[in-house]
Amino acid sequence: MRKIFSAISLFIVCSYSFAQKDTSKNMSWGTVHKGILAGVGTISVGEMPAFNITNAYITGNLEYYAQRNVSIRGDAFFFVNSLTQNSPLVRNSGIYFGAFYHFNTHSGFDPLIGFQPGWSVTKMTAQNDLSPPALTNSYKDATSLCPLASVVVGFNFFAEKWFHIQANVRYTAGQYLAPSSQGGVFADQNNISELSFSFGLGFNIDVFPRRRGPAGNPSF
Amino acid sequence: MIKFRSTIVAAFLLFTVSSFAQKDTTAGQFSLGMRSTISSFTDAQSVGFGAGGQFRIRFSKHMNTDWYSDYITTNIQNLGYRRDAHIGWSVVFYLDQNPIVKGQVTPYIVAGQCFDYTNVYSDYSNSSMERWSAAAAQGGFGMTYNFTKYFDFSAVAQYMLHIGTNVVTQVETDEKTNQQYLSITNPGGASLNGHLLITFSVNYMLGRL
Repeated sequence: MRKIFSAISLFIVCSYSFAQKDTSKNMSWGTVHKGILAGVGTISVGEMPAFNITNAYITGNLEYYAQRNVSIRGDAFFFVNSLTQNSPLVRNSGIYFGAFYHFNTHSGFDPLIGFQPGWSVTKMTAQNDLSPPALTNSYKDATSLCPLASVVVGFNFFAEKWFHIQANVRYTAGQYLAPSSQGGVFADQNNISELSFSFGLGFNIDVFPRRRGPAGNPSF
Repeated sequence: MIKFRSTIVAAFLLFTVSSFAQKDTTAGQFSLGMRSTISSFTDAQSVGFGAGGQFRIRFSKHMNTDWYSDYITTNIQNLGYRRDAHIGWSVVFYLDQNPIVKGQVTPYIVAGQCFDYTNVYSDYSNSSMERWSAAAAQGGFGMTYNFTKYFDFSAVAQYMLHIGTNVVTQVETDEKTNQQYLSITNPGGASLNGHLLITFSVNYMLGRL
């Protein structure tokens, strides 16, 4: 009898304490606001129409909501490999930095559009499909720093206190320019423009949790 | 009498300066941004493409300054390529009576100076040439649109003159093989060659200095 009484008491105490701690309905978790610092690490897949190849990247980004509608974000793309055989790409890792505009939905759903210039470190094989396979290594060409411009559309979905979901479609424009060991400067083979897609789970914190609300006058 | 007049003038000047200082809350605004640049009319009608960054320090309601860096690459008809690196500054003068307002386009004129590095490569005998120049000047016209009070998108078209030594490229034909190639020459002396730069940027005002 004493054990049953103790068990019921413990259950009630636990339930009561859970009810006390679960204040999520009163908090602004799941809403987009100034001061969110969000990071995402995921895998991205890109289609490069000039070569008709598909590439895989490990990507990550860090985003800070300077205002409810504006965030500043940096992205890094690490080239893993092409998923298509006879791809001329050897290296194509890049970084981007820019700003995003977020459309107000008064919920955790956060559609966004952004502009991010960037740079890639790119290396290609010259005329790979024409090279004898045994000589492929001798036909590697110079690594080049390539300026890029990209437009991103997508959304974040803040449903939990610490985590969010992110999906992005990015169009990147750029060209690879380096001397070719087979002569020429990659005639018709310098367009590294790419359409990529990424989807992942992200982590977020409030940098200024007590200063939530309308943006004040920015000041140093 | 002269002393009295001097006192009046001095008081008037002080009042004017202090009233300007009180009203102008825009001075010292600091913005940070990223930019993409299209370069044209450089070599053999080829169009280049670049990326870079910039920051802005605003002096007054109508006057801002742009401090930027660009890295531009140009494919010259698949015969060679050109790489340009720019570090420069420009003065921006807003033409609107009430500039930089949310939801409004503000036109502006821009002019400034730039340090310029150029490297041109020709596939023909693997030749290349580079030069540094501290005397490039640019000027043009732009517009900025403010999505919010602190966040804007800007587009500007400006012509940059490389005042000083220049690297000249020209597409020529080999008479023996009838093959086109890119010749690179450094004619010496001053020249007024340049290129049209169209720049798109996003900028965020971080605060006041």
